[in-house]
Amino acid sequence: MMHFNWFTRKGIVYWPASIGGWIIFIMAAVYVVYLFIDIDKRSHSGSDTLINWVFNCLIVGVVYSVIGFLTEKRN
Amino acid sequence: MEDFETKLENMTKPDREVKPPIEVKLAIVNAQRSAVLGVWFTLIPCYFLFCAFMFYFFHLDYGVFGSIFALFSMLEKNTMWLVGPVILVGLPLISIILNALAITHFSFDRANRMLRLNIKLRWFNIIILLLSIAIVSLFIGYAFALNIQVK
Repeated sequence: MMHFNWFTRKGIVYWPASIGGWIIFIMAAVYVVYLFIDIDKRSHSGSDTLINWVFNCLIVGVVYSVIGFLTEKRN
Repeated sequence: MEDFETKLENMTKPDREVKPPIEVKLAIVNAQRSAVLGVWFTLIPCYFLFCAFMFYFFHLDYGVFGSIFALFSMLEKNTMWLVGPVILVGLPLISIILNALAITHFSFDRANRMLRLNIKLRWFNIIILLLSIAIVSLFIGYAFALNIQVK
């Protein structure tokens, strides 16, 4: 199995450790900001925005963590 | 007497070699890594359950906790109907499998014909495993209760 060494794990959070990891991290961060703007545009209240955005953030976090899990730096 | 000695010399020696037990190590992934992924996989169901608890038990809404139900019913109506069950049941199920594999070790003792199951006491994995089992059984129980029709 190939080892990518893109991320290192600190606690339950995966931090980028190489250029591949940084690209994925920045893409995830940009997508989260885009999600907030997009949801805010269509929602009717602040709480509506927040609940939808938090939910979407958690999904992004799960996908990011799965990528981190598969490409983690191993000793 | 000579005949007896040659008989003894020609006798086959018993095999004293004890074969080591076959150990099937089922720890496919590192226990800590499994626990971390388990945390992420149980986060969304926990968030959903927290909102449901606040809404139905404490009757708190403020337009916040009730929105999660609207979100899931919207997902059901759309083509993304599979997203809800996958998130609420599928991910905790994967978490159960990962964490169970991380703490269990099977070994087969050939001499005694015995299969031994060892569970490593890694508390973080065990807690995540129990939490995942609770979430899955809660949602499956809810689905059963919802679909049972008394005729």
